[in-house]
Amino acid sequence: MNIAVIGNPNVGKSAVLNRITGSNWFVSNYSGTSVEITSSTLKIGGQVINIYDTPGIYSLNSNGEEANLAQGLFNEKEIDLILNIVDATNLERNLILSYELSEMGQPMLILLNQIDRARSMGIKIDCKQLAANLSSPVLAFSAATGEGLAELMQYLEKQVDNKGRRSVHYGRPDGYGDRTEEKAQIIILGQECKCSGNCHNCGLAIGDCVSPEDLRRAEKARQVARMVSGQMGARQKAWLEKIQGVVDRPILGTIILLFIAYLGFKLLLNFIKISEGPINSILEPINRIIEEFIMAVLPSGIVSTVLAKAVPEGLIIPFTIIMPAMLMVGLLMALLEDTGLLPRYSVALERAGSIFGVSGQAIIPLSLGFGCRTPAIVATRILPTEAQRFIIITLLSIVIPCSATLGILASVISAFQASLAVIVITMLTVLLVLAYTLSRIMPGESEFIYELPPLRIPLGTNIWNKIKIRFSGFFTEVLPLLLLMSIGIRTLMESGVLELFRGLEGFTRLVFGIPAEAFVAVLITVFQRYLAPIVLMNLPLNPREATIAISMIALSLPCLPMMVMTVREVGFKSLAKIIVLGLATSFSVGILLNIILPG
Amino acid sequence: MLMTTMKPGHKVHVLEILNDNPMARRLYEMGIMPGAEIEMLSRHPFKGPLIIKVGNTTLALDRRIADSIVVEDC
Repeated sequence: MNIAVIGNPNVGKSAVLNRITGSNWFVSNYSGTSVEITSSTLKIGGQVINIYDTPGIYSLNSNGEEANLAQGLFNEKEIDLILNIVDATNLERNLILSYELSEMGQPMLILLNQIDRARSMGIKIDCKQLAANLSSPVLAFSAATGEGLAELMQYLEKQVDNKGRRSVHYGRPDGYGDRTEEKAQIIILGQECKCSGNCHNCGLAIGDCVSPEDLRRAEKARQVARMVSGQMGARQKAWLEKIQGVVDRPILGTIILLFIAYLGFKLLLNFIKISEGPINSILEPINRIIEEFIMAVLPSGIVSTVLAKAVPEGLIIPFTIIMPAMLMVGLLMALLEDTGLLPRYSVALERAGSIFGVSGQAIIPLSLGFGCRTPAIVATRILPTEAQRFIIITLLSIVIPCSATLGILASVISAFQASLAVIVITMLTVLLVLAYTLSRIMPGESEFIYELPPLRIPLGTNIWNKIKIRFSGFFTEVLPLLLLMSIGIRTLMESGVLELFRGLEGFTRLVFGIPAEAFVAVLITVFQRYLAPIVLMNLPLNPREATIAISMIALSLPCLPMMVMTVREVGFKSLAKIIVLGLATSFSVGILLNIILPG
Repeated sequence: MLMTTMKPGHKVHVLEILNDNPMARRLYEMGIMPGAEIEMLSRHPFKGPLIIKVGNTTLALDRRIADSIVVEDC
């Protein structure tokens, strides 16, 4: 049995699914988190149920990737049940989609989610009347409290039973016989707004117009929403709403948001500093055992020397710096998302951003990038134009440091007493110059409108799930890669290959003011930015050289996983441009700093 | 009057969305269509976004879009 889960953005779809399946759906308090169809399975009564979660859409006929994905799902999979998640506090708008879905003539169940919140807002909804109006069953539900879960499970069980019986009695010899018609209908529905004769606004691009059919549905939704919902007396403003009132004030709100961001950074840096000691004291004896073990097991020679040094070295950086950074950034990002604060940064920074040609919405992928930049690339899909996407992906690739990079940069900066101020100013300058230049070259600034979700108290399980997902890359990607690279670099040093680069010494010193080995470190960033400092750590650099080398490394190429994702999202040509830009940026930064910084 | 001129706290009905607005569809999906009730919550300075309430949804809106939305007092 296949179930398609469809609903407006921000109705708590993922939270509902987490309730049902207990899986790791990302739950976020801003629009456009799930930009792909994710599937999960559930076993009820011995039958496997496939649940397809679609990205939030306002209408099946929307002009966007999300709506196309949802339509595609109906064309590709045999959907037995539509699970329409509706926000009980926003019936009027949500019902428009419900009507579109009900016109498809498929079995549908409507989950009236956030019913607890609706009640606390004084909204009372007559589920029976609503069900009669939509000719589909309606279930009051709350993902936060679990209300309605038992009823939902019961309903699904019954559906599974029915389906089982139906297939026993009638079978489906040709499999598709009764579906072709439905499919045709879906396709027609999808084209409703893309016609030439049906719309009253035909000067508009395909998918941009509103047809009379749309307006009729909206009118019906408005009427029904009014009919089925009543107010339960005067309502008290909840304290969370009062806070929201303050945060949404233009000037005071912006100051509060910036202060929260500052506290977050402070917390991150202090957490890394405080945790380093205890982690080191655990790691040191383990590393000694590993070193002795390797020396004892392997015959003495270059292999055992390299491994005995490289393996312990390769463990120190990931565990003492990257692990705490990934954990803390994961926690902070999850909190910002789940409380609903993140989109408020978009609003607060809209003006500042537009000066540099970046829309306020870009704040979401850019700040996600501080966690891990690979998923941040996917999140750029919420941006309105291709040009904007390319600009933001470029900024992510070249400038934004991910949590792993941040940790590592912090440690090399303090190890060499490099100038934090110079590095930070350099990075900010590059960010602004790149954003400004790119947005002039490829203008595509567009008008925006987006939802500000209500502030809410984050759910512990959501936060935990997100940290887990964001952290999972540590053991599968960060740790093995760093170990491998550590071994590779040790091998280079022990074998004396690095000495060959000495020939470049004169050139790199003259142009960038750094020794040849540090230049090699910059080249290594092609593989993974946070690996390069391992090379630096073994070099005798003075603060000036370190400042230049670290700046060049901090502003260079995207890591391999990012490159793969960039090709997937915007194509190979865009990646090629980003790589060229990245190298140009890194080298120009080196040259300029070498000229500017006093010797 | 145009939506851009609304003061915070002001409640209005949408009369019409001026023609050939490529954002018409998006506005419709967000609940901004003729007949919808809208409250202005706040206006960000320096021609920044407008924060409005449609139903129980809070929206951030570009001023250039608000320029094409005609409203009247409730």
